[in-house]
Amino acid sequence: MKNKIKNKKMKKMATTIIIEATILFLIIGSLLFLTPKITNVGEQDKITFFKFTNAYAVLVDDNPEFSSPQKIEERAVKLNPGEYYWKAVGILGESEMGNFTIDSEVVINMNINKDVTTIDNEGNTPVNLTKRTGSIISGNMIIDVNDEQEFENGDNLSFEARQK
Amino acid sequence: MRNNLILLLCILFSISLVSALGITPGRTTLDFQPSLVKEISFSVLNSENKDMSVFFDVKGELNNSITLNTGFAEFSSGEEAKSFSYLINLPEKISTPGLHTAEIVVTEIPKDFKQSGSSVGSRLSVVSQLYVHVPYPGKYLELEPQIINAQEDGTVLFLIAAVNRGKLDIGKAKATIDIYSSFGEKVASIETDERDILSGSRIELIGKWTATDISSGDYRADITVVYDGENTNAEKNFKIGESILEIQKIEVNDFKLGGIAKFNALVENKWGEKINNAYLNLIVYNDEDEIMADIKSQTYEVEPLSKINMIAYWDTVGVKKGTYDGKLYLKNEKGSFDRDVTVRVSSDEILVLGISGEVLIEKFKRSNLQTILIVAVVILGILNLLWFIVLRKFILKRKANRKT
Repeated sequence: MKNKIKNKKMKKMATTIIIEATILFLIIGSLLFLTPKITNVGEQDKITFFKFTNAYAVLVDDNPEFSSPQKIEERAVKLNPGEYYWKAVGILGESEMGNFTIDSEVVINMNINKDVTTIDNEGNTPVNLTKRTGSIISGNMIIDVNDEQEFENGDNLSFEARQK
Repeated sequence: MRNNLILLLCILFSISLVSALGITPGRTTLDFQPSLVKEISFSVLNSENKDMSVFFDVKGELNNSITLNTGFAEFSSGEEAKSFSYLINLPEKISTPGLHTAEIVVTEIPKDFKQSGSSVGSRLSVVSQLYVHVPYPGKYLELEPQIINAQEDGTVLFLIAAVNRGKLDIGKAKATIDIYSSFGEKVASIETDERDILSGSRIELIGKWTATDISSGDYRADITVVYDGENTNAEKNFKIGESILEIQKIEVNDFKLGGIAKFNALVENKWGEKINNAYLNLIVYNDEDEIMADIKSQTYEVEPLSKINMIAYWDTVGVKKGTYDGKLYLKNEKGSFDRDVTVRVSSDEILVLGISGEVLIEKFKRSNLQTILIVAVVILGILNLLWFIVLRKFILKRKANRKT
């Protein structure tokens, strides 16, 4: 009789342990599988795309210490040229760190009309534009991204654009 | 006859010559290494997609260290970009510390330049720069200050990027930021933490200023960084209290290309007063920089320190899939907020990019759920251990009982 009671108790204990072990397994499993992970960073049409799982946002910073991160709650964003570090952020914390570089693009559009020449900065970085008449420098100016400058037409004009 | 001549002249004068050229990267930066040999790639962009030729030239003090793989290249209209490279061969020693540069200059010339040997009209060149930093003998600090008016609780964030361009490590670097009003009156002085900076590395010294009870306007930050008995200075101007209404997010749900897109913009009034006649205005530009859509919401009254949804509609009949530049305005009686955005249109989705991007002052804290789960694992682990001990004792006791 005593043994029967003991066996029952033992069975109860074993069941409890199995249930607990299952819960433990599920919790550890969810910790492992639901932890944010970064997959890839892509760039298209000057837009940076982040690929990640188990996360709702990314942290982007220009230093690996993430001392002043930008929190971006979108999968794509327009970033200025530079070297970046990033992490995905989910409800179970942060992913490991990745890094990527956005190359600067110096792109200039020159439009020559009857009286004036217009120079547009169509790149992703401010440019320092040097205007030459023949071989003599006749002007130097900064043009911001998507801004333009007008110049009077003249003979032997040349324009040279470099990253500011 | 006379009319025809006038028409011809009008056409001739209205003709404009367009030329476009690009290069990427605009700059490659290296730290000096004796006798370094390295191949560096760059791409020339035929951004107008036309037949053209380009020639290459090398300028700058390091030009003798650079060998270009080619001096001339031709592009057909179908070639958007072409990759090229140059070889750098640095000397064993550069005696002067600091920045040394070279430039790869790419100049557009007519497609038939090789045959005709001449070109007329204005010339366009783009440059890819090579920056080589030669370290200073001792400790040398370069500063790149950035000021972010974080708005929330009036905190202004000073991010002072400090690069140690010297050969020696810096043990203690600390910034003092003196803030002056536009009348030259000192209104605050704050200090950052002290940090060490290894040779060649870049860190951020961070200062926070809670600008409550400070009137809106222009301010100047005088920054002094003291490091191991030496110091360096920088100056930066900034504004306080610029933005009143802020767009938190903008979404387009249940969209099909060719239908009416409904934009839902969540807007927050950060001002302590009601704002009247506020409305959203999104302008979308096509590839020729012409206005393709001018989308406006109705006007709203926004209660102080509250959020509302502003709704605007866009009829997308005739709109093609693609990525467009745009400008998002949030206008109201107290002023206007604007931001350059990118509008990405696909067959069933419109994304307005460039809205979010808040800078966090504090680092992310571990989420509550994660903490709860970790605590649960620890508790369950302990419980299981206890069960195991009890069970083991029970089994041992049982065995002992059987023996007796």
